[in-house]
Amino acid sequence: MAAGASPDPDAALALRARGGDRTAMEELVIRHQEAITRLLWRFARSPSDLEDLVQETFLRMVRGLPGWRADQPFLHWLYRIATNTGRDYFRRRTVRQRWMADQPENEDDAPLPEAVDPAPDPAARAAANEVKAMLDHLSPDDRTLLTLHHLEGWGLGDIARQFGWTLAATKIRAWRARRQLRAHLQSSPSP
Amino acid sequence: MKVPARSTSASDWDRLVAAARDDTAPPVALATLLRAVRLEPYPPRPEWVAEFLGLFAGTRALATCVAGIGGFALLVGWQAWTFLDSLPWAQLLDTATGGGVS
Repeated sequence: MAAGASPDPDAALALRARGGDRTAMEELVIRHQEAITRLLWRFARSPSDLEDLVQETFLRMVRGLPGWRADQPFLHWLYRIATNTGRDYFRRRTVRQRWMADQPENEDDAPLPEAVDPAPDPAARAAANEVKAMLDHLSPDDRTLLTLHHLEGWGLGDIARQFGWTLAATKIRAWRARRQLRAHLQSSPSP
Repeated sequence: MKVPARSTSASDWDRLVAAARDDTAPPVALATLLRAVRLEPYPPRPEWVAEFLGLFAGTRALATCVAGIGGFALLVGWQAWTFLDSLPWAQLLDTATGGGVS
C-alpha cells in the first residue's frame, strides 16, 4: 500500500475538494488515476470494465468527500473506496454468473481480442487472465483477498485493516480460500 | 500456503502469479473521467454535521456506544442516589403497593 506516516501530501488539496472546489477534485483525479487504474486492473476482466470501475471509484470519492476526515491519509481513504468498488464488482459478477449459469459461454468473461486490446506484454496479460479466471471460482470476499494478496502484493495485515477484518479472521479466510482454490484446480480438467 | 496451478506444481503457480503481476493496466480515458467527475453533483454538508457523523463511523461506533451507555448509567445512578437521600422511598413504595411491603 502507498502513503506512509509522513504528512499527507494530499491533505490541502482534499480539504479544498471537501469544501466543494471542483478544480481540487479534478486535480486529485489527475494525481491518483494511474494508481487507482493499476489497482483496479487486478479486479477487472476487460478494459471496458476497468473504465467503469475507475469512474465509479472517483464518483464515489466525490460523493464521499464530505465524510472524509483530515486525520486519515487521503490516499488510504481513496484506496478503501477503490477496493470496495472492486469487491462490489466481484459481487455483481457472482450474481450475474449465477443467473447465467445455464448459458454455455459468457461473452463478457472473454478477454478482448489482441487487435482491440493490444497488451504491451502479451505473456503477462495471458498469465493475468489465467489467474483471474482461477480466482473467479471463489466467493467475492475471498477473491478480493487473494487478488490483493497475490496480484497486488498486499500483506494480510493491510487487507485486514482495509476491510475492517481482524488479522486472525483474515488469515483464516486466506487459508480457506487457498484450500478451496487448490481443490477446484485439482478437480478441474487440464487445459 | 502455495496454490498449485492446473495440474502443475506450486512453483508453477508462483511463476504464473509473478508473470501476472507484470501485466500493465490499459490507460483509461482521462477526459471522460474528468467530465464525469465534473458533472457529479456534490453534496454540500456543513462541517459540524460531517464531524458529528464521523463520531459514529467505523471503529469509533463501539467506543461511542460504550461512552453513551456509561454516561447514561452515571446520570441515572447519580439521580437515584440523590432521591434516595431526600425522599422517603420505603413509605412511597409502601403506599404504592397498598401496604404489601411492610
